[in-house]
Amino acid sequence: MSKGALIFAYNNDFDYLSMADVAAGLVRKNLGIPTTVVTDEASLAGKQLKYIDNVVTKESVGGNTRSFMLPNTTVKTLWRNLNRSDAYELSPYDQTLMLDSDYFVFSDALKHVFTTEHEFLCFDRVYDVTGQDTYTSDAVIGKYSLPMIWATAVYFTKSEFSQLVFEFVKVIRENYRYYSLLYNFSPKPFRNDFAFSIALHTLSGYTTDRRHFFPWSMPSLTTRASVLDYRPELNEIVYAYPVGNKTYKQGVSKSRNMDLHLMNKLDVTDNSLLDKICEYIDAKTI
Amino acid sequence: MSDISTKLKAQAEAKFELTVARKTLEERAEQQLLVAYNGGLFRATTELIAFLSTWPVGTLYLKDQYSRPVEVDRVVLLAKLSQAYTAVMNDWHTEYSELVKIRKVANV
Repeated sequence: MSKGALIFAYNNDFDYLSMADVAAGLVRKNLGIPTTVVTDEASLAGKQLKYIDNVVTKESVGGNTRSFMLPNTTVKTLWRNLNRSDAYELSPYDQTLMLDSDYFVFSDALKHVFTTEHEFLCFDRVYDVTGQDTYTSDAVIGKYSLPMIWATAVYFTKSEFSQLVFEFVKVIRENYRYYSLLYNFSPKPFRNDFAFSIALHTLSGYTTDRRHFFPWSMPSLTTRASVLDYRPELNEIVYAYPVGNKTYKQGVSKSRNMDLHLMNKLDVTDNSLLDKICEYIDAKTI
Repeated sequence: MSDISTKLKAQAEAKFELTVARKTLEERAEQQLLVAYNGGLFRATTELIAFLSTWPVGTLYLKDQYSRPVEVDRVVLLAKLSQAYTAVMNDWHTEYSELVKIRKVANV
């Protein structure tokens, strides 16, 4: 059975492909599997890729506009996230770990999923590493409280069930306005999290089937936090975050050897941070 | 701000940061205590290790993290769980000890 990671990376104002390259390096170091990236010619132009093993070139289909609330600023940009539902066909692997390019695998926690008999796994809970439960409101979708899952990290096998999930996500994407009215959420922007939530809930017999969830929470660092430093020798990331709604009041914390969804795109595309993470990736394991 | 107010504010802020750091260590341990075995996924808890240490039969069926009965070799799984438990708890203790010695996480 072939195993690998799959990352979609389409550049906009942010260099998603560089993020994906480093994310691929972390996948290789900590999970020991190759990474395929789905991207377009424009993102690839002039790019030297260091860790990505395989590139699938596919133009993105349209896009959304999304606002990213970052520390002291808000960035409004084109968000090219519409072809995630093609992952099933695009993945060259029998067992695939589909990751967002800003999900950094700093540990080997996800390696276990490849030895289980699951066909489809994702996160249904998020752990806010700033301790402020920023994602509490994301636990459910809409007025009818459909349980929300996250498309940030999804494991799937080439199986009938997984194929159905991805096919259904395509149907939801094409009829997103209808589903937004049905479940009572905003039709813009299109969110893969919502589409996967509806698809998985429906295909689980309109129930919450915990067998499709990773048995731990997805650690996330909110867009409002800033990365202060990364220490390659400790595999440790240090970050500052606003306490409550007061941007002037900062807390500082850190995490070591722990996967992290780094949502502040300005920080994650910063070359000095990426270079330090490369230093960790390139260091020989004793 | 008076001296006592400054001290109270500093204490509250430092305590918040340390609480966040401790919680993050605990969350990480929860991830790392997972052990995959024979198609199942088990958490290396003290209860499971104690149970396997005393169970008199070599092969048994155990409920995994997904509530599936999985056939396990008691000795093999016990060894895997013990190894994971020791490694994770050692790391946790080391970093926790660093934390309790300092007032602010930023100083580590």
